[in-house]
Amino acid sequence: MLATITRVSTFALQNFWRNIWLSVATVTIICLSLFSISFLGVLTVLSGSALQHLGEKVDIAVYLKPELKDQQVLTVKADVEQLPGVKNLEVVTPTQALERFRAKHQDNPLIAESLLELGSNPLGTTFIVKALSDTGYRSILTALSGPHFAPYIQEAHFDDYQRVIDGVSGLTSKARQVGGLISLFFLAITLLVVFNTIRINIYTHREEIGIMRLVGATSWFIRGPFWAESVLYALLATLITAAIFFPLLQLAQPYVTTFFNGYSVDLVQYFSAHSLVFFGGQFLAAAALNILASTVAMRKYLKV
Amino acid sequence: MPLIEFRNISKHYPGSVTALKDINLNIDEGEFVSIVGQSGTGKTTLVKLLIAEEPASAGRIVVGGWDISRIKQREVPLLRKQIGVVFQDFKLLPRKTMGENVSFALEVSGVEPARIASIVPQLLKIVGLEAKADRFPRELSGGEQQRVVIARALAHRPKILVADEPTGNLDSINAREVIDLLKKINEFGTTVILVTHNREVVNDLKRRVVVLDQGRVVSDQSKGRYLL
Repeated sequence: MLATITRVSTFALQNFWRNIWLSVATVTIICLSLFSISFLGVLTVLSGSALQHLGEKVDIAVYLKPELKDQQVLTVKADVEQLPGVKNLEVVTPTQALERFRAKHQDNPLIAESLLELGSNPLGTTFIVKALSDTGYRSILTALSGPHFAPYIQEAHFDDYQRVIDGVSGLTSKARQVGGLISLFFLAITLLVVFNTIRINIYTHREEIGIMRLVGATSWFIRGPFWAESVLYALLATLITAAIFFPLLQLAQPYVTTFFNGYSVDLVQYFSAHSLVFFGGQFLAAAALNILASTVAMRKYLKV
Repeated sequence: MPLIEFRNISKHYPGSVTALKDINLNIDEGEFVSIVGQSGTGKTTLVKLLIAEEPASAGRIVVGGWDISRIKQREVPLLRKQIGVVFQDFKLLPRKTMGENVSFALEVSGVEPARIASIVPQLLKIVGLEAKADRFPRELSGGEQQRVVIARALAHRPKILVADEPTGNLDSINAREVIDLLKKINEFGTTVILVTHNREVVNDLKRRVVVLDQGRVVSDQSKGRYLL
């Protein structure tokens, strides 16, 4: 058994080597397919990070009336926390609210002057409410606008990042569609190229194949080297893709960091951590595709 | 029981071409049979049917009690190991040495390397080429190349050796050497089927001769001559 596996592998390597330029062209085409799939992978990670980043920015600011007593604030807080879809609630005291307001408008002397004129803190307690899902904000806001909360709440609103999220989602979806089409195109080319490569290899080895048949080699033994060869193409293409992919990621990383304005999206770390699944999956898919193409070629051209 | 039985064998090709018509032939174990006839009489077709290269259109072929008329594709390698085949055009791999060409037949059948290392020199010795194991086909004469092919055909110790026009590309001296080798193999117990249209070779052999003409057996004599 071991001898047979060794011989099948040896014949596969001979096939690869004897038509070296054809093999190089085949591996290059598979590399292009894998690159387009890897690009889709990067796009998915980036869009996922962008959407998560934007999602974290969404919250509802609930401004309570300044005259509320501490006990009333606690009661309203408990009521808001009970609302369905609320993930958590942060309390900003009037003093903290004033500090934040001042910090936010520190470059505006007019506002600072107005605050001085007022003499006292005009701001009440503020609740910063996070929802469990992106779609939960509107229902929470509707509940807060109801009569139950009307005596306590001065104003409640949330910064509507939804349009931005929708925009990013839409853009990502389109990019994925285009990337998917490019990948499909390359995969189709890969199928044709591998099919043709195996066809030519069958022709090149017709003498050996004829003798193999004559002396009693099994069909599996005759077909084995061509299958092994197609798996070899997939393996080499995956290794080459991975070898080029990571340096490219390192080059792209500073631009990604700048794009996300310091938000931590470490592509190299992400793909290093997931490399086995990411490239292992690509290898298995490419190998399966190549085996399919070589099987079709053998059915058509290899009579055993 | 005969080693090989052809029972009412016919072979038709598309376009109403009939290569063999109602062939009935028995070959016993240890026989040396020459199948002769002019070109296009169906000799090679008979060989193709025997090694399951092609199926018969009608009739039965039994080899060693095994009906191969409807042999499954996965069973063909087993049959081919029992029937060694030698062709006129040698079918040697030019990039392999003589030793490697013989080894190749064993390698592709999954034989262990140690066994190959012991069998190949023996086979080359039988055909008298043990000293030329490292030569490439282009470095040897046609007769020597054909002897290597015979060594390769014997690699699986087959019960039957079929030689289809083995002297077709050889001069008379080399042809004589090859025929002598086939006789020697036959003396060791292997059934030899020689397909040829070489009148001189057949007449010198003085063994059984089956004559084919237009796809039919027209003569079958135990110590026959090439009649046509």
